Amino acid sequence: MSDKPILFNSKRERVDVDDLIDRCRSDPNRILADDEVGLVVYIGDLDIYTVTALGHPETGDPSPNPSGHWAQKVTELSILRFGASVRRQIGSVVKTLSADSVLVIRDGDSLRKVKASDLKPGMILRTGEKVYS
Amino acid sequence: MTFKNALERRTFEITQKVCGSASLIEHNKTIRIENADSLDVASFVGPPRKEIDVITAGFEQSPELKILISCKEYGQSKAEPADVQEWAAVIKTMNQYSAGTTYLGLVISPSGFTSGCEPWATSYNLGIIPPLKGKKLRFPADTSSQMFERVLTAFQKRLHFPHADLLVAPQFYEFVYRLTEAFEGRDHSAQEFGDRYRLLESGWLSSFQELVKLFKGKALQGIETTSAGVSLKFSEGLMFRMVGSQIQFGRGDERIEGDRVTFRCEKNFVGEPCTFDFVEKLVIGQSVTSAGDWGDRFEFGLSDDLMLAIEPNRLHVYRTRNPVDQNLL
Repeated sequence: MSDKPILFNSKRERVDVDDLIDRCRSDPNRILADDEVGLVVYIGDLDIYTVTALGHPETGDPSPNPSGHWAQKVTELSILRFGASVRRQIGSVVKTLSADSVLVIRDGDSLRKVKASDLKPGMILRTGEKVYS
Repeated sequence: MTFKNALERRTFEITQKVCGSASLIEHNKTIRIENADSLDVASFVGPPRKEIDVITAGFEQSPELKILISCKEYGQSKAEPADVQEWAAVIKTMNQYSAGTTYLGLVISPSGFTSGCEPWATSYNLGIIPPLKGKKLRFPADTSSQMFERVLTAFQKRLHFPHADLLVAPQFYEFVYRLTEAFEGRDHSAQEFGDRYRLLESGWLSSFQELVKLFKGKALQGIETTSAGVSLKFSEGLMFRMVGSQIQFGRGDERIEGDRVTFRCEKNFVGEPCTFDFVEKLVIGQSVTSAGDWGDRFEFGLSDDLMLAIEPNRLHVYRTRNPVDQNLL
């Protein structure tokens, strides 16, 4: 399968993505989609988190954690079979992003969405972080 | 039953397939609000009414929740913000004067949407198919139908779990977006590789990248050559087949069609003749370290510095260790 996200539980223990998917398959309703495009699994009630370096997922506030990372609860686990990935340095973190993932940047007095593949050095995200490369 | 166009027919057929009897199509339907005893909707002509063409998707597990679907078939022209605004007004009014039913809205326009549609869709929590992705993408009509089926199926399953969050803007919009955005990668891969890679069992379109991820580290256990093509068996039940110009791989039936035939076998980079047994003895038990696709030739890099090249009627093995002349097979 394609790139898998790093997941952990509320005890900060690493969760194996393949094991998690196997567990979820016992309840067919959790498998929202499993087709040519990819796999989407509902895990919103399983207390599973991922790490984001792009500010608080709702407010955009920077993390109080010195590492700059937020723990973001995951509702749907999505494994793409055809997702091309790009590497971008955003703030102090170099991230691997799906090429067509959407980020919100500041554009003068307003906000604008751009695809990760279209991020340019110098752009400022809604969260205040600058794109360096 | 009559349909105004092919899009409407396809959309309704998918809705019926997913939602069964809870699906409904109505033309020139006069929609009425459920709660019409508020002073603010009193007028000389009665409560607000509007004629629309609508497909309704209902769900057995949540009868109080419905998706109202609008189909926009504009040929080559894209749907305009006015189309989204109209549906936003319908959904907003239906929810505002609802007596218990919650409505979500979905607009399908296979020719796409102009960029001005997005802020209206997000602020009113409408799903749009195909998704707007910030560049001039055009999806085939079939892809839009596949997107719709994926969204509706996933939404129906999602209703088995807490889903109040989807009712708050822009969560339903985002839900639809997340389920449809990846079609771009699938269609791009189809353009790049055509029908070259297919998964066994499911027959799904696949890619070179997926093949490498699946086979890296797996040990080669057997080679079979027939009049139909060549089949390689790997550890963990994985199969690799080259049938004509198509590569089929994954977990599936070990058998390959056709009569057993002996392929031309060659060794070393210059292609000296050798026997099938010679090739087999060298490569069986070795693990995949890399792969390369040269169009008419597929190569597996194997442990022990071996390279096994597979063509529709030829096998070629050589050692990649240097110096070349001291590492001939």
